[in-house]
Amino acid sequence: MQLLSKILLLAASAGLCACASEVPSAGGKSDDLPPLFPDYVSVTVPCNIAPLNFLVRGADRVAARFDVRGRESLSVTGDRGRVDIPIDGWRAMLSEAAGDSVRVTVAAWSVEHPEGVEYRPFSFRVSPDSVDGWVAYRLIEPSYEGWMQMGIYQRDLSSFDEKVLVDNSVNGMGCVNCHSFADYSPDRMMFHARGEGGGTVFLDGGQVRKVDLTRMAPGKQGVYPMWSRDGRYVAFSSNTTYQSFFGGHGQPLEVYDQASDLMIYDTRTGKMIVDDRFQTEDRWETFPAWTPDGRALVFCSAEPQSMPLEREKVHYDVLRVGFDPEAGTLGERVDTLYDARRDGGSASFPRVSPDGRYVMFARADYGTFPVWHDEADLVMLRMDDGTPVDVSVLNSQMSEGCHAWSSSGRWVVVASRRLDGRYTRLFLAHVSPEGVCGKPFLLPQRDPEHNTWRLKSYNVPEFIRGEVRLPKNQLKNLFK
Amino acid sequence: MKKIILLHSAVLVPTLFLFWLLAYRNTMWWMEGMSFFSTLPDFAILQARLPEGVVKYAAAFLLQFYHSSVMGALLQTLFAWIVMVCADVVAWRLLRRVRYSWLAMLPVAVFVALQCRYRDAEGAIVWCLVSAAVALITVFLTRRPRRYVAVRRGRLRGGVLLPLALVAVGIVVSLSVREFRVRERLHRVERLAEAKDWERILDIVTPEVAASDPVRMRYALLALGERGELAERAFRYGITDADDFFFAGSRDIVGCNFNALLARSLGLDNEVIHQSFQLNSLSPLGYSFRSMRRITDAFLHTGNVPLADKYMRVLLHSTFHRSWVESRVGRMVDIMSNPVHNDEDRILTCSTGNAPLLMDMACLYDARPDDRLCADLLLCGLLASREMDRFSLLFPRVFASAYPADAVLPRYYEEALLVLSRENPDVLKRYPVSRFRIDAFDKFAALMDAGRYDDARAAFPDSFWSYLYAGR
Repeated sequence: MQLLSKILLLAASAGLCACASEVPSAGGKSDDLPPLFPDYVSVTVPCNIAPLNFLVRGADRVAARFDVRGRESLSVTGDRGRVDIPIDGWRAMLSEAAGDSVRVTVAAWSVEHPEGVEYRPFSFRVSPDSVDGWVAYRLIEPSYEGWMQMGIYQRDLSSFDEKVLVDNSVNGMGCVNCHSFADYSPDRMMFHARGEGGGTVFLDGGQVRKVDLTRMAPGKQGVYPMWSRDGRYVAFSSNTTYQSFFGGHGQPLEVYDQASDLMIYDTRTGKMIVDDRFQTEDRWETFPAWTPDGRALVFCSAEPQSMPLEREKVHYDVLRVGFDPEAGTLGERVDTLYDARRDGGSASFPRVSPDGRYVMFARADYGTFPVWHDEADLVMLRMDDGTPVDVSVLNSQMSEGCHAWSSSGRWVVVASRRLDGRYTRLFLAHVSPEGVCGKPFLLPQRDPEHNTWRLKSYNVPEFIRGEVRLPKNQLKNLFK
Repeated sequence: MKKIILLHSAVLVPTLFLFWLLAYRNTMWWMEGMSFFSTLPDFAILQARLPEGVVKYAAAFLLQFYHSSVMGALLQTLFAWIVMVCADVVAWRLLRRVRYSWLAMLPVAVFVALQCRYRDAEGAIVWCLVSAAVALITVFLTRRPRRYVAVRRGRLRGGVLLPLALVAVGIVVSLSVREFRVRERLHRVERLAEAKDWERILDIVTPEVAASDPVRMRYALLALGERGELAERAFRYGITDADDFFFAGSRDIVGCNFNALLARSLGLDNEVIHQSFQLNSLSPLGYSFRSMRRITDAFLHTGNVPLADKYMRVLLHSTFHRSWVESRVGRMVDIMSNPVHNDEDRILTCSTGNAPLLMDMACLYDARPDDRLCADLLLCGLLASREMDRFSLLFPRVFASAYPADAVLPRYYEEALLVLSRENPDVLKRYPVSRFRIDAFDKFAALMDAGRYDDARAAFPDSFWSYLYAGR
């Protein structure tokens, strides 16, 4: 079957017959930037990223010349408007251009411009900061309630290889979700498998085991996880989640909790740590995230409301509570990093940067699930004093929700619906040590239109340092 | 041998082609709609990865042809023909007598009887593959007969009469399977609803039919609603509750399909998309042409160019959707030049609880008080729930906003107002209830007051009064 998959993949990509060659000269010039998809103009890319293949809409033949320091480094031609950059030439160019810019000159031939037109050149910067080799995400239709096939996938960021990490064929087409990695390690990961015989699956040391969290904390179920960097603790929120649908126009649905608490699983002792302060009904706590040193837990918390009617009154703060990893206890003091009542909106998915200096989260007008809120944007604060840092460049008119920091802290991956308002796609952006974000760029694909016709959304992106190799047979045995 | 195959083909092909075309036209329509085929790598690779995926993918390719009933019938016939040819080869190699050649039609008859069960075409392909394998094995393991020993009478009987009888048996068995017949009838109504042929639905789904078939009853009620006759005729159709107007909380194909069509009629585009996504996930391949087309149209209706464009591009990666997509391009161009602005209306749907339809319609009414179908569903739903107090409370507002000022009161509203007038006679001063209805109610009330409940119901069998007082 794998061979057949490869044959099909080859057949599919055979249509994208672009090749490196001499760039023909165009008959005219234009002061406009080329109508590229995806938009790679003025972005900053890691020095190990896959080729930024692109499409010139409406064009037939296209040619692109890539200049580094005023010298031509690569030239590519393509048809059907597509530029498919040869990977070897691309890698050589990136290593040459690291720390510098690449100037791209695009010419296109179309019915409108039969003699060709050369557009105004644009540049992108190649950062010497590399990005983690892989990114993991779940692919699922943005389909409200039901699903057929879904899976957690991993993508090699330096090429176009996408591999199934685990899909729901292992658990009878149930749900697989909420993956987390200990310190970006491909060797220590966890995910939930729902449905009959389900549980939380841990990969550690090449072995997989299934843990039933509902038995360890009666009445609770592990939902949103975050594994501490030292690998010992996994913080979970336990959520009772519902959906309400809006049949008319605008936002199609609202996802909300009717209860949520925090709990911490100690992988060394196999015990669940629960703190009574975070188990009460008078506060909802969700989306736990460790600080890099593992000595504090950042999470969202809100005052409960009558749902779904009072959904617009639900505003989640971002709080921080200390944690003693040796004793496995949460500290007395709880700090408010983001006060939703005071500053407006509602916070979700907080993530602390690997250097511990920043916390980034999604802010919607209200509620806990920004994915269905067009107004949801990313916000970043300094951890020491709560000062906002401008990350507006990461945002769009559509929803920005889940996001993750790279292990170096120099890159973030953002799940955004900016392309069409419904299908979440991954965008990468550079973050300088001073917290200045670059313009995000769409995860490159061999065929740029892949992002248009893929019928699944990217969910919960997580950087990983390498490829995860799950022992498939062991995994299947867990669900027998 | 060739002559036998020709004779058997002459018997089988026209018979089966006509059988499928006449008996299962709507089942073939359904098969195409619930299938999905695409050359997009995501879909193709996924199918290749799944067990039996290649057969599924091949079946999905063939099912595209079923958008034409003639092509569908031809393919259904082709499957049976392949089984027949293989069986003929086996009979030729093993039996070596023309007089026994009719035995080759035995598996064909079984296949014909079962064929309607293979609605994703996978079963039919498996039959063909197995038949071909058996034929090949037989050819490899047996010697070629010097000649097919034939007699003239044997050829007629073995070549025509017995095969024809066996095919006829297969057809009769197929037609006698209640499940197949029920499905065909249901798909016929679904098809008419898809095409908005409400009149034809009401021709087919009579009150008697509706009373015995809760699924088709809902289609009849939808057709009545579309024609503005819900408040005139709904209680003839065997309603027992407000939830008879739709499938509350449905998570099956029949329910999601109906709910999507109801939402389309109500102009609830998000709900059309929601139910169609559900239908997608219930489809054998995780996507279905019916859902994809409906989602595309819903996005076009809302003026959502990026998503309509996306789905049109996806559909272009199938084999037969170019003209369908082209038929939507004009609408797309219109939207691009005159963007559609829909205000965020936050109409809650899919309520859970005791009265989901009433909750949904109340939310919709708040947002669109002039929507006649919504108003009728709300008011008739209240009547069906026997919620006379709430009807009394809501009727003045709902009727005034959804009906023209000079509108004649529909029958069931008149009947309900007459019921209310027993407690509050002033009701009749506010609404022009017809003399005819007042007299009828007086007669009904007199019979009820005299304890002649059965006579009252017999005299006014389709009335709301009979429905309301059915328990007495």
